[in-house]
Parts: sequence; C-alpha cells; structure tokens
Amino acid sequence: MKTITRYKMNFILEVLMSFVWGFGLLIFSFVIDPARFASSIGTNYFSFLIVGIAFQAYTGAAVWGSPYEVQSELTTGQVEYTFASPVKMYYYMLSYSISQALIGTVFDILPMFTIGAIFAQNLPSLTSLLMALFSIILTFLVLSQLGVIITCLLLIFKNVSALNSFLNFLFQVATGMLVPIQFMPKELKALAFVIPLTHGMDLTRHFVIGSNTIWSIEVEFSALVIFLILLTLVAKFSVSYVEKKAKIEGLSLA
Amino acid sequence: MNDTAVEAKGLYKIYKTGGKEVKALNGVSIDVKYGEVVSLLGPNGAGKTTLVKILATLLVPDDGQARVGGYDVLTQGHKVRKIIGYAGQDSERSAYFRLTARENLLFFARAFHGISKEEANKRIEELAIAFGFESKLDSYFIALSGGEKQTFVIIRSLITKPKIVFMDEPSKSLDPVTASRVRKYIKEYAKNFNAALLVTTHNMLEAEEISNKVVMINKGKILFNGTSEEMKSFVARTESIEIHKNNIEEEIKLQIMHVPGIISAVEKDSGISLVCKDAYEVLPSILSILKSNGRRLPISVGSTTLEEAFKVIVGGDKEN
Repeated sequence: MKTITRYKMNFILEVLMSFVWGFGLLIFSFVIDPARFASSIGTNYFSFLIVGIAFQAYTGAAVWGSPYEVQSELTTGQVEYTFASPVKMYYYMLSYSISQALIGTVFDILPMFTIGAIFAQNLPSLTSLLMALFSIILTFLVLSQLGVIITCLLLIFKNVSALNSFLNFLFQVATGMLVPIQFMPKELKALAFVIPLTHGMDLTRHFVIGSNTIWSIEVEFSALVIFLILLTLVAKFSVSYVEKKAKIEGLSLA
Repeated sequence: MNDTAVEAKGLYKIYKTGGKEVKALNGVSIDVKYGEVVSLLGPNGAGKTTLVKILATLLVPDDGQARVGGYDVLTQGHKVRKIIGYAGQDSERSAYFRLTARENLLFFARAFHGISKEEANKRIEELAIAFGFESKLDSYFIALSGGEKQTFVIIRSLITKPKIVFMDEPSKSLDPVTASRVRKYIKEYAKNFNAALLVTTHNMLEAEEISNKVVMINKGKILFNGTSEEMKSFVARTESIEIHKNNIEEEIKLQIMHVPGIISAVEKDSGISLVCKDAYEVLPSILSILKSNGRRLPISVGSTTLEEAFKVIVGGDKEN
C-alpha cells in the first residue's frame, strides 16, 4: 500500500481519476434512458457499469497480480531471498493477487461506488449487492489459483507474457463478456462452462442487474466451488513442482 | 547440543547448459561449528556460490548429504530456512525500490519471518548503528548507492538473529570503512551469539581477518580446509621456485611439475612458478631435469605470501 501512496501527486491523481470515472459513468448512465434500460435488463446502467469495472479489476488482480510481481522479483533477484526464507510459496504467490485486489478496492472501486451510492438512482438492494460481492469474491479466489499456476509457469519458462493476450481473448470471447452465451454454438457454450469467469460474471450480472442466468444459480455456484477445489489442487501441485525444479536448475532469468 | 552447525558430505552438482555439463561441485565436504566463521575462498566459477545455495536450500545437490542446524537440507528445507540468514550474491536490487530501507527491513522481518514490529525496529536500529547505516534507514531503497544496498542486504540477513548465516561475497562493492565494519561485526556476531557463519570471498586478507577456518575451493573440489593458523603455518612452510623463462618446452615443464615435493605449479608470462615445502629439497631434481635437457635457466627461490599461495594453489590446480 505504501508503494501506492508514496508519490503524493500520482496518488492524488489516481484517486481523483477514480472519482472522475465514477462521475463519467454516472453521466453516461443518465444519458441512457433509464426506463428503456430497466425494461430490457432490469435496473440502472450505473450498477451494470460499476460491477463490470470491478469485475475486470478483480480478474486482472487475481490472474496477473502474482505473475507480474514475481516477474519483477526474478529481474531484481529478490525471488532468491524469498525462496531462502520460511514463507510458503503458495501463500506468497496468492498474497500478491490479494494485495492487488485490496489496492484496487481502496483506490478504484470504493471511490466509484461512493459516487454511485450518493448520486445514482435505483441501486440494487443490499442483499443483491452482497450476493454479487460474494460471487465476485468466489470468482476471485478461483481465478487467483489460475494466477498461482501462471506464476509457476513463469518460473519454469521465465516469460509468459503471451499468455496474457491469449487469456484476455478467451475471457472476452468465450465467457459471455462481449457475446451472450445463449447465442453461442454448443461447442463454445461447453468451453464457456469450463471457464470459471463465465459463472462469476453471469451470477454477478444476475444479482446486480437482474438478468437471467445461463444455467441455474445452484449449478453456477457449484461449478465455482468445484473449480476452486480443482484449481487449488492444481495450483498447490504446480508450486510443489516448481519448487523442486527451481532447486535443480536455479532461479535465474536465463 | 551438537556443536556442528553445518555439515556437508560428498556434495556433487552438475549444471546442464546448452547441451554441456558443468561440474560445479565434485565431492565437496565441509563443516562449520557454532561460534565459528568459515571463509570459502576460490576464483570465479569455483563452486562457492553453488555450495552456499545448496546449504541455503536454494539448490539440491545431485549427490551427497547436507545438514544445517541438524536439519536435512533436502527433506527439511522449511525448518532450515527458519533458522538461517542468507545474503546472496548480486542481491543488491532485491528489495522494494519505492520503500525506504527501514520499511523494506520491517516488511521482510514481519512478513517473511513473523517478527513483531517492536522487535524488528529494535534490531534494525542495532544493526544500522553497527554498520554505520543510521542515516540511510529512511532513504528510499532506489536512492541507495551500490555499497549501501549491499549493506542493506547484509543487515537483512541478520535481522532475525540467526544462529547460522550464509553470506555470498558480503564485502563486494563496499567501501573500505564499511567493509571493515562488516568484518568486525561478523567476527563479533559469531562470538557473541555462538553463531556459525559461512562467508564466500575473493579477499584473502578478509578471510584471514574474520575466519576461524579457511576453505579453498576450485573446480568444485576442496583444495585446502583448515584453521587460519594452519593455513598460515602451511603458507609459512611453503616456498616458491620461479623459473624465469617463457617458452619452456612442454615436455620439460611436465617433467618439472611432476617432481616429488612440488605442491602446485602455474605457468606465468615470465616462466613457471612452483610451490613446494622445501625448495632446497626439490631444486636438485629440477636442475637435473634442466641439465639433462641441455637448458640453463635463471632460477630464484622465495617464500610465498598468503595471497600468492592462494593464486598459485588455485592456478596450479587449473594447470593440472
């Protein structure tokens, strides 16, 4: 957190920009005819936007928070000190995703949400917001396992930045982010089902804007829990494998 | 309690790079007792860093066993990491640039080692005073000079008051005053805390000043392992014979190098430098070889210094 607040001018501008974004989204949501919007997807557009942005921020933190930080540590040599310290590597990698999510919450999401809470109309009920938050946290936990796995790949292959483009493409095309799942061919629908983000986004949209879920709520929550268990196992196995491999070959970027 | 803090037996390590195999350690055995500073000396690529990394659980050996603080480095790595301090080579960028030195030290002490804030702060102050680092504690890490960053790395390795410390070339890039403070502190630390320190260095004088024991290593093999006194005695009893002539035929060189009593030999631009225990004992054999080959070359006899002995021993190993 200190590294964010250290440079005062940059910090003030960052927070200011979050408010500017919040107001921008608010104005945008007013421009859209609320009645028309509500009749098509349930509630006001501001909620839709702010949840979308939050989801994007948390997805980025979960999947890329750890790999980016460890990549930097590989460059500076800090990763060696970490490996010689009594920290559990799995939790160490996970902590980077969580810290990035906390930073995003404090400096980006909360300012925007404050604008919404003060000025926007027809915000979702507290229960809906809490259910949306629960969906986001569950999805975040699932995706942060993916972040741990990508970090392990990074430690093996030293550079995995191309995975970023690939996953972005996959997330945007096959999760219903841009194209509604309902309109997809059954093969793509099957692919969408095995991507945790699909369920997280679908559930969150349901709770915030009242859209219908693709599969039943129970199925989607169950899918997320199963993904969490499976990916946690894979992530822990990957960390154990990488620790062994690093100790045979060393921890250099070469 | 067992007084041996670090014990390694028959360590082997081979790196495979670009289809080639490089033997970094070739049957290395070493031990460090509590209250002792052991200096690991050797040229670049001798295997010093590999040995330290194996002991710090950063690498696994291909063969051999090592125990640190009684724990097996292979099967009890986490326990080893809890009791050691580690200052790696080329670690001077290994901290958060946008935090101050103090904030970095606090972070590592608390997040990585679970030390309370009060204890960590107290320790930071103590170490900063010992190393003359007080004025730099609140500087951003990025603003520290190379030597100051290296001092930070040394302080970080000692922040938990570890009973076993591994330092890979700690005095590298330090100014003479700080290097002297570091040497003094290392020596006192081992004594006051009954701690075991394994320190790699290229600096013979440093090794002599801080060590209870000196281990010379080259090409993954231990060339000398003994106390500083034994080493001094070894060197004091060592004499050098210089044959001042370049372009000596290979056959003659080989004959000379294999004369009984020659400890090591190294070829220099000006001729051959031989190390032996008693020059007057081996000289007749050398003169006989030269005479039988029809050569009359200028020869001088002298005593070797610690640094020369190191160069000659390591160099001789290279030659042979």
